[in-house]
Amino acid sequence: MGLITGLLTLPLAPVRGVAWVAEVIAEEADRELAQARSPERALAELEAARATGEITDEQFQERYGELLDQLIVQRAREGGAG
Amino acid sequence: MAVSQSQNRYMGGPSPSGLADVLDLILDKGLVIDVYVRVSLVGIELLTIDARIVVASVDTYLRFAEAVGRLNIDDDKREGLPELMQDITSGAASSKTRGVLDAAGEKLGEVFSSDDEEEEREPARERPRRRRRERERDE
Amino acid sequence: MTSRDETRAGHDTTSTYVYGVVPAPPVPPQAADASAQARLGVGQEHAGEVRFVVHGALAAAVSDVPTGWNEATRADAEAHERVLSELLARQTVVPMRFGVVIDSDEEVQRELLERYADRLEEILERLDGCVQMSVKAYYAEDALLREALARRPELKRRADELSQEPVERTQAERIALGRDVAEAVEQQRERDQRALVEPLMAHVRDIRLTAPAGEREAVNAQVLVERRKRPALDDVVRGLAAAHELRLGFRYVGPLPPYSFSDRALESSEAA
Repeated sequence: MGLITGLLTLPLAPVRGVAWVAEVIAEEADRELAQARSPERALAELEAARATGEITDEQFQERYGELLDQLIVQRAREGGAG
Repeated sequence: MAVSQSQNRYMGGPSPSGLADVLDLILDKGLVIDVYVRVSLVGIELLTIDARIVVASVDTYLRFAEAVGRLNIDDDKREGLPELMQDITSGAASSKTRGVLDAAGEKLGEVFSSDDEEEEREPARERPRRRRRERERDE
Repeated sequence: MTSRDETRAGHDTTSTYVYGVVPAPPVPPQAADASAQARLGVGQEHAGEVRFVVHGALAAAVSDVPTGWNEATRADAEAHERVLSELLARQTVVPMRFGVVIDSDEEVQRELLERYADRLEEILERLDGCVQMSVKAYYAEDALLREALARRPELKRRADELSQEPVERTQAERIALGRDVAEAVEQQRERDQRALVEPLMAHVRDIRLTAPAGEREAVNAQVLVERRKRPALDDVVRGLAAAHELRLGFRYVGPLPPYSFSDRALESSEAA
C-alpha cells in the first residue's frame, strides 16, 4: 500500500524516539488497513449504501449474505469463535 | 451526492426488520441471566463492535487531509445544501435543540453520556471481542 | 447450576431454549399463523415447537434444543427474531439475548420466572404496550465532509495550500490538518445527531443511542415507543427523512421486540 510505504519513509529525524514512532505508526496503519478491509467495515458501508439508495434492497441482501458468511468462515478459522 | 429517491420506500412507514437490522440487537442486547448456557453462534456473535469507527489515528488523519484536498467545494452551492447550511450556520437548529434538550432533562443527558455510550465510543484498541466476553462472564 | 442437573426422566437429552418472557396467560397465536413450520424455533433440523412455561403472572416462550447443542448459525438468529416478533405482535414481551439455553423447563420456572419474578414484572410493566423502533441515518457520499468544511473554510484553504507542496516535506502538516478535519467532522456528526434525536424525544418513552458503526452513519437511535404513539413517531421520522432528503438516507425499522430496553443481566444478588 502506498500509504504505508509513505508512512514508513517519513522523515522523522527531528522527532525523539524515531524508531518507536515509526513502529507505532506502521502498526496503526496495518491495523487500520485490516479494519478498513474487514467484512465488518464492509457491512457498515453496505448499510450506508442501502439507506442512501446507492444500492437496491436486493443488492444489499445478496452482498450482506456473502459478507456474513465470509465473516463466519473467517472467525471460525481464527478458532477463537464460540 | 443527493440521496436517491429510491430510498424513499420508508415514506409509507417503517420497514419490516431483516436480520441485518437486528443482528447486533439480538447478539448484544436483550435480557441475560447469570445461570445459563450460551449457544455459540459460530463467528457471528463477534460481529458488531469491530465495525466501530476509529477516528484518532494517523491513517485516518491522512485520509481526511487527502479527501479535503480532493473535494471540489465549488459545487456546494447546488441542490438543497444552501438551505441546510443556512439552517446550521444560523444556529437556529442548535439553539432549538438546546431548548428541547433542557426540557427533556436528564433523560437526554443520560443518552449522550451514558456509560454504555462511552464504552461503545471507546476506540477498539484492544480486541473488543475479548473485552465483551470478559464482561459477559463477569455478569 | 450443576447441583440441579437431574432433569425430568426421559428428557435428559433436551435442554430449553428461552426466547423471552410475556405476561401470563400468554396469548396463543392466531390460527392463520399457526402452521407447524411457522411454530418451530431455533435448532434447524432439531428445532422444537415454540411453547410456554408458566409461573404465576409470567410465561417464558421456549422450545427444546438438544443438550449441548452449540452450532447455531444465521438461520437460528433469524428464528430467534421471528419467534419474538410473532410474540410481540400479540403482547408485550421482554426479549432474551440470543443463545440462552437452560437445562430444563423446571429450571426455567425456578431459576428464571420464580427467582426473578419481581424484576421481570417490573420490566414488563415498564415495557407495557411498547415496541422498539430503530432509526438510523447515513450521510450521502461526501455530505459529512462537505458540511464540516463549510463551517470551517480555513481547513479547505490549508488543504489546497498543502496540495501545492511535496508530500515528503509536509507530512506533519498533513497529519495536523487531518486531525483538525476529523475533529470538525465529529462535531458536525454530533450536531446532526442532536438535531435528529431531538424531534423524536416528545414521542418516545425511552431512547438509546449507539456510537456510529461506520463513517457514514449519522445516527443510530433505538427508541421505545407506545404502540398508540407509533403513528406520530412515524410522521416525525418521515418528516426528518424528507427534510434531510438531499444529505441523509434513513433506515427506519420496526416494530421490534424491545431488545435495547431489556438489556441487563439478572444477577443472583438481585434475587430477593
